[in-house]
Amino acid sequence: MMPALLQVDRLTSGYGKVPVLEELSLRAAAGNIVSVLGPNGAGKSTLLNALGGILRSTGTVRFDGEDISHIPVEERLMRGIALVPEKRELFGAMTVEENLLLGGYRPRQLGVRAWRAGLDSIFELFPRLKERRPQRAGTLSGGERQMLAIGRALMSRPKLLLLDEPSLGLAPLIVQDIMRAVSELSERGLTVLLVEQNARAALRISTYGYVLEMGRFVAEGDARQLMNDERLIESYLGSSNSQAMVVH
Amino acid sequence: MDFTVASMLALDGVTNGALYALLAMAIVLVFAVTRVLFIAQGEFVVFGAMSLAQLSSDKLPSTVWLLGVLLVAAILQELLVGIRERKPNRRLALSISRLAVVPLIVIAITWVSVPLRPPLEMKALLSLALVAPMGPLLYRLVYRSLATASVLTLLIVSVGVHFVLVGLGLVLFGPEGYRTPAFIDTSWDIAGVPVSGQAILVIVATSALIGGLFWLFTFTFRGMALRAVAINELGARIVGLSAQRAGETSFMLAAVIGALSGILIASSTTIYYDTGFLIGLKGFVAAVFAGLASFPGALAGAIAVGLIESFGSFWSSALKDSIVFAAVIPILLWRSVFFGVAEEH
Repeated sequence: MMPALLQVDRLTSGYGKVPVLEELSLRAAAGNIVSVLGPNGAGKSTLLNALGGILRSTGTVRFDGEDISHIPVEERLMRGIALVPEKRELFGAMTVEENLLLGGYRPRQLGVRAWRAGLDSIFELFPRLKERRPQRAGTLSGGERQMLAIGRALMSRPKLLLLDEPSLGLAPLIVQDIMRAVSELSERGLTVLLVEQNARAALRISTYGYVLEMGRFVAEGDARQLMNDERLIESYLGSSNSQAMVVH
Repeated sequence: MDFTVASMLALDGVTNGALYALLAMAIVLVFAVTRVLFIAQGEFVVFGAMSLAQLSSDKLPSTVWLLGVLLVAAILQELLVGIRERKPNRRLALSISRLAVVPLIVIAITWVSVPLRPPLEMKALLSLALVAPMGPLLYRLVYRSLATASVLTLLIVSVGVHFVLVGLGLVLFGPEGYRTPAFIDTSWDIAGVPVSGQAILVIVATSALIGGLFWLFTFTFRGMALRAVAINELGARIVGLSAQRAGETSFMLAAVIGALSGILIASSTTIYYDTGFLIGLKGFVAAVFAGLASFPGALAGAIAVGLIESFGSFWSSALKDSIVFAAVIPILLWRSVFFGVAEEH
């Protein structure tokens, strides 16, 4: 087996004293898209926030061979883990360009001279953002906000992208656009951990998938294998099935 | 009141207003980045003025000891937290040395240069350098662990910090008042109104600092990062900006601004260990005028406070402070009528 970029063992996390996740183990090999699927309230966002370092967790998280279980979100970013949280957390009163430039803090801090050049590749990936360049982030549409959040995360030149529900509340065509962009990024070597309710859309671009239910993994396997498992899709991912059909 | 008196009062008002503007901006800045209503802002004014006063009589300033006390406390805190969280020794040593290096260098430079009797300008720079690290140290000591506390809790803590600093001021400086020599002794006559060089210096220095802050926030990455933390702290942490670093930076700016105001007024006002509170409070009134949110608003508010104060003191010098603080009431009424909803959030 290839050494994993991200290796999570017995991760437990939650809010206050109530655990939401119970001893999850998961791995993501470099360059792959790994998706975590599951219905609302299964703990998907909790998992992603714990991995991003926003939420406290127990268990071990190894990234790039190093134990990062106890370091906070800003230091995880500096090691190359970029989080796009469910609420996006953009700087609403600042312009699109400023949001993206702030995303470039990591390469700037690491002394990459041409860190600003990242802007061009983001605009190439999401031409819509280029049109909106001087506009305040707070005035963007849902899809544009999503693109900006992903763009801002990419500006940090991450090794691993933690992506929370990119399809949430977006029109099917835009979901397709964003999924295509994510798949393009992984072809260029980025590793992506994708959390999605829209199982089919996510599995189509993934190499591997986990199914989360009530804080536990109830199934895992190659994306194609999961996609063809009608019974699994029915019982755990049924709610997103109809939504996924529209994307076809 | 004739034209000459009115213009003298106006000049006085604008000069004082410029200083309140500096303090108001520091208060707005600290509040935006850390949600702390920093009541103790005026103490930095006193520390700056006292350092310069003691330095200009060629004594080792007591602020050296104050800085030392804060530094020792911060190091102890770092050690305790490090041991409790089982930080690896190497990281602990690194964070302590990072914290201690600037204050120690400043203390050392002061120690060495006092017997050399440097020029007044050099002493002013030394005073600034002595007070500047107190801001970040205070932030680390007091506010860092309260990052998630409510605005009210932070306000109550600030009142406590204010009392502690005033108390330390009394111990270190004693109850007597201090004055410093003026940077510029000359005075000009413009249209029959005497204009002192010091007043012009105050206005020029204030304008330069305001311009500098504007440049920092608009054109530099650091300033953009500070704004980002003020707008969305979690968002800022996600891109790798540390809210703690931003807090330290804002407190350092507050300390520098406070100390600079102190250095500028200490030649025209006698400074006691507890003078800072009243000055800081007037800056605070100006900041309230701007809803604690806008820098240009704070500037306008501060000039207004300065003018109200100088004209108020002409009509009733015993009541001049009451007049200034009473002006908060109509301002708050006006704000709550026109901006009430916006402030709820």
